[in-house]
Amino acid sequence: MNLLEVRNLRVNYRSYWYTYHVLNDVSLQVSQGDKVGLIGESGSGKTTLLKSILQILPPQGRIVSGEVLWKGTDLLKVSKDYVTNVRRKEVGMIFQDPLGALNPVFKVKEQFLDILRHSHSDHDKSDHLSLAEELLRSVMLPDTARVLESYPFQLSGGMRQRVIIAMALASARDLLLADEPTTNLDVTIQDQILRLIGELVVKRGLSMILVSHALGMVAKMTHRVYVMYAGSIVEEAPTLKLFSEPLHPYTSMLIESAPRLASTRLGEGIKGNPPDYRYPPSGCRFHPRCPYATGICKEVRPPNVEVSKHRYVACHMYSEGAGGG
Amino acid sequence: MGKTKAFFKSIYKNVFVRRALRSLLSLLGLSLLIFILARVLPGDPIKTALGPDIPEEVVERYREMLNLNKPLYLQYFYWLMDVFQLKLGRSLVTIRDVSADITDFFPATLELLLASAVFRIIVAFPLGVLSGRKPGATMDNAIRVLAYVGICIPTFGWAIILQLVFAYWLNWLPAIGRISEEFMGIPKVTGLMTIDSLISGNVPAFIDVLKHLLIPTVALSIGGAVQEARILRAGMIENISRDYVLNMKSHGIPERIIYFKYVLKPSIIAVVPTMGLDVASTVGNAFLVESICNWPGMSRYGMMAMLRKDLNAIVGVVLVIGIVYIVINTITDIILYAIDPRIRLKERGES
Repeated sequence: MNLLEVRNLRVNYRSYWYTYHVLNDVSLQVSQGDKVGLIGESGSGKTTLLKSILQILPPQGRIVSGEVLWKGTDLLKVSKDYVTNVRRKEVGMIFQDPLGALNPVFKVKEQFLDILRHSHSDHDKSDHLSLAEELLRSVMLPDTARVLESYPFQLSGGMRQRVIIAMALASARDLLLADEPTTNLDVTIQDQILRLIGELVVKRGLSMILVSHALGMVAKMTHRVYVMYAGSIVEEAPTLKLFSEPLHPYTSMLIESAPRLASTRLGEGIKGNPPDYRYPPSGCRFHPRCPYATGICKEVRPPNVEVSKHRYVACHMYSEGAGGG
Repeated sequence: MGKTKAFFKSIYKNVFVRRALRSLLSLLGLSLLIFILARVLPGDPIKTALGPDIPEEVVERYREMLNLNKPLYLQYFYWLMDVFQLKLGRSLVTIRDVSADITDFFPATLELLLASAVFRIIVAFPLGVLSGRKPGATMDNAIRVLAYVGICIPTFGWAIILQLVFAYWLNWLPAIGRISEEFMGIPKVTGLMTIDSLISGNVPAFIDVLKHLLIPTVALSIGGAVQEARILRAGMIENISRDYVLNMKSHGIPERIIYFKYVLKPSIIAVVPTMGLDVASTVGNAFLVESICNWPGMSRYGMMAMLRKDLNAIVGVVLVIGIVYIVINTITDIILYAIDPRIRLKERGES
């Protein structure tokens, strides 16, 4: 059984005037011990997907349809308490912005203890402090007393992100959701933090969904990668396969556009802009930017085709009988 | 214990010492401005004060006494010398030292000011917190309407409405005055009748004083209070979508702890400076409300001083208002210093 299985998830955001159709039939699986990458441009719905799993979308966000099966139970159908318990004890999430994710006017200790009080409610109150210290040491913050007595703004960006990771570990006993954990950090620390996350996940036997723009790190840290474009999963493949021979036109363009250290050439980027979620393109959402688009792409949404073992791609070029390209 | 002591020491160092010089300079500037303005206004102040039929030699004697026949800079210098002895010069109307007059009238205004600050806190915080909890719900809409009404009607309008409804129609509260006749005898200690009545242990008198306080206090602060409630509400709604709230949510922390602890504190910090300024500005607004409610505060004295061109009294009253502003701003700073670690630790240079 899969640890997590998201099926046909649709999520909308509503503003006063418009409805933004963001997640468009997203499906994804994570089995025990799986390390899964999730890549795609900014604004393609990766964060929305992670937030939907824990149901922590902002008030404007609404899950329209689909299932989020956690250990076989649909979290969208069970009681609030059940979901709360999953948030407290089973799934942890690392946020993008390490300054924003900590409350500026409370000490780290205060926030950490509140988290542990709920994630480790079976422990004695007196254990929580030593537990916090232990978690901080595990993220390489040895000066635990200083960190706990600090306010977030007194810590460096890297330290804050380590604190967030330590907090996430408190709740993540099965699955860690890492939402671009290094985007807002100095380049020099990015690798350190990603490596730390990789080590911790292995050491603690966690499964992980890693959202990141650092494709190199995704390649190193994950077994399988989902590629997301405009709220749809366009390709799923074992990591090495995906990077060596991408199938979907978007995937190849995404990999092409990533800057490489070894090359003096800048990535070209992908022409055009991500779509307007108020009026998403019909058929394949990528067709306005796709150099291979044909008539069918505008009209019919491409099915998810299993091209080879564990390789799925949602593109008419690979659909039977469509013979596009 | 040591921690508290260190805290007060750092408040002293960071708030008072820094502020003292700046405040002194502003007061000096204020006094100079008002001093000159009062004196360049057309019309002879002595004749305005004492009447047109006064004999010329009396006028001359008064001029002599008030140094009005000296050049302006000397007049200011003499006045300043007086101030250093805690005097504010002689009033033309009461023929007493202005400082003595103000000592008589100011406590009533101060009491109104303090009551209005308390009322604001009692009203603004719960209303703001309640309406921010579920934006768009009935409670929120009701408070929104209340806020518009509160802001649209000026303080003196509220005073009249409240007098009509609660004093005249319902007869629940006294319309004017500060205390009923039967309690006039309570010994004067602080000049604040609420406190004086408590000191003398006279509970009925205390209740009587509170009843008298209610209409002017509510009239003075209802508009500001609902406005502050709206600011607090906006802060709460803004903060609820922050990442730190999401982080707390992702850990399954109960919604009420998130709202009443992690969202409330930063939102309160944001509303405190506005509240401080608003409370300070009530001294100015109090003039009209005091007149309507026949409250024996500084207003009647100040009004009279302005109408009669009582030079020293005008300067004295304006100066007191200035001091009130500075004191309230300092208190605001102390509160912020105490509750906002970003301010506290930055000033100590620890960040």
